[in-house]
Amino acid sequence: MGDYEIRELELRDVDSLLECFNAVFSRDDASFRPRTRAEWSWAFEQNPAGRRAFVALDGEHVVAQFAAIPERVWVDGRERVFSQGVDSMVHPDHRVGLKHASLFVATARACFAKYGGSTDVAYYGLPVDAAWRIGHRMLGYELVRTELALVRELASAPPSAMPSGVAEIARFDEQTKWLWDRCADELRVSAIRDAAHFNWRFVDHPRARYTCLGARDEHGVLRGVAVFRRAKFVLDDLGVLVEWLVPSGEPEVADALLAALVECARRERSSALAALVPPWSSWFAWFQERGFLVHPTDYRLASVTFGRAHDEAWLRENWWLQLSDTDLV
Amino acid sequence: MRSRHVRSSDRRSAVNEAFEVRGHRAGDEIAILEAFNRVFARIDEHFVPRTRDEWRWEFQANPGGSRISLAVATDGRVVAQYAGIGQRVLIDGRASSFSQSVDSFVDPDFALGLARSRAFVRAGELYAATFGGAGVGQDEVMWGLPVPSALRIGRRALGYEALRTLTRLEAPVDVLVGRLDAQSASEIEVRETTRVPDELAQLFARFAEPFGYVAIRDRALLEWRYLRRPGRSYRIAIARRAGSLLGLVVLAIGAFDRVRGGLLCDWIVPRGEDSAARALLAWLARTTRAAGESRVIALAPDTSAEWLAFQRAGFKVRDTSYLVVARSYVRSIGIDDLRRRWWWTLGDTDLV
Repeated sequence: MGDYEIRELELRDVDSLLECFNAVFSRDDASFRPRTRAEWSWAFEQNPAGRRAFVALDGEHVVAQFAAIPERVWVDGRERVFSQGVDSMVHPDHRVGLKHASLFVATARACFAKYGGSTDVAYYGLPVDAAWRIGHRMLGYELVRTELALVRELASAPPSAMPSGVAEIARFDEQTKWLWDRCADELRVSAIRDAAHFNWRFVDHPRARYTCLGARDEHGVLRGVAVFRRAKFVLDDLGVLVEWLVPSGEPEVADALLAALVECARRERSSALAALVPPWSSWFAWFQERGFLVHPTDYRLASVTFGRAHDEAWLRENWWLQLSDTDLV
Repeated sequence: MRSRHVRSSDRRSAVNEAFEVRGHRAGDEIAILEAFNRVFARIDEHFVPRTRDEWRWEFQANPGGSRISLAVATDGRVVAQYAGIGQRVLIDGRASSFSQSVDSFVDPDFALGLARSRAFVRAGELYAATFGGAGVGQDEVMWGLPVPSALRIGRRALGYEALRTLTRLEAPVDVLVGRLDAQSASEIEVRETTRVPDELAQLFARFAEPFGYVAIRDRALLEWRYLRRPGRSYRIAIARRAGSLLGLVVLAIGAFDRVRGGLLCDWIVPRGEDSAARALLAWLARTTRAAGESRVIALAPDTSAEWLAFQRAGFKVRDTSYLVVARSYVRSIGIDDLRRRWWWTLGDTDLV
């Protein structure tokens, strides 16, 4: 470990970081497309919540990374941060015996030491089995939830018009935050869904194309948002509800947006529409009442937290997590 | 792994911190029950003291056996217990054993914080060392549904690992009756019974075939679990076609996770027996309604085909406060595999 410098990533490291990243992730994935500087910039420079990236360097070369994508979250009446771990890696030449885990663990710990507990309430992710075992043993990952997907099978039907009052949103504006403000209490603990976050997450995404749907009243006031994408989630090719922001007391808005989502899925020839909402939420029951069945997934939501007041049990019972809070779709 | 840790009511009494950790000996049940009833009464206003008959049923009559480790103070008081109910299981067809950790506690009036924790942890360590493993009389997997305080200490000292967050299946009886009566097949005969049918072994063999891990449901288990349990009553129904046994279910009226209803305790209906499944679900719904309850409640692994079949029959999925934890004592059983391939129902737990 003494041969490596472990510190927060600096912009001068990015070229070496991308070289390492593309070498690591192309090894076992024939379909891997190298990450570009623009894509990195979107994830780690343009995110309105900032950046969490720590690296291990061998001389000038990045050989390991612990990175996370932060979200601004409203917790106990103030803005805090939850960060989703992504893109963690150790270069193959630096994985010897326990060294792999140790270099990864040391890099992650450096990040936790700087941000954990002070600004960041939780680090979270959906680790595969091997990453879970290392994280559980070495970094204190705990299980928040074994995730369940809501899936509604769709009968084929000819395309039809979008429901009245629902239209695509080209770019989000200040009404987004007003809508989130109206939903925030019932969402318990949620990422702050404002124009900056939604435009970054959906509209400006460098690779994925999202259909952002807004329901408005006759005065043009935004009453609900749903974001759709055709993507791989549980199955290879599904219509996926990525984001759902609707006050629960306005079922007519919810029904209109759901009808629009079904229409989007049909236009994309998806055989089913899938979503992920926490089981404690009233929406979990609502979607079931509208024909969604609850399916198991292989995803396990794991977290590292920094105090008993905000531990994984608290996250399980309070955190409004959807697919938009993950990098799955 | 249901266990209790509560604050001492009078720390001045906590003067003697010496204790011995050992296994259960004949005659210990009097001291165990005295401590158990005292500890649990302090944290649960609705607690009904456990009787010796109930203790003997749980820990002496169980065909899967029982496991107990104790911390005993120098004056003979039981100050901590770590205990489990044995389960004979099939692991890919091979006979083995699991256990559900239950009734563990530490006496809040014993010693001060660290010494008290030490008594519980050491009882747990002896428990794990004695009963965890692949040897005769050992369990390849221990599992449970711990309260938060037991989870913290168990995770730190005893290697608990979270297996899954638990949801329940719930259906209004009127929905079930309406749907299932319309689909009922006249050739299926459903009958309530007070005895275990002779063909249970063949039925269970067919039922168990798709599961990697399943507790053995044989005559000994069902008679012990449902027909001889003191203070609780269960109702068993069987489905036949032309005399052939196609399915068996067990129902209790009560509450799970503070929700009342007809509780589906056991479901032994082989896949493919759809008519029998519908007929037995209709019996569950009608019997629940006749008992004055409005919903049927069930647990099933979300990774099983039955989970989706129950939903298609009218059940909805609801959150619970429970987390299932487990510890595997053998390399061949991973927690993830256990989560994906283990069949269990409410009847596998001590919750009903």
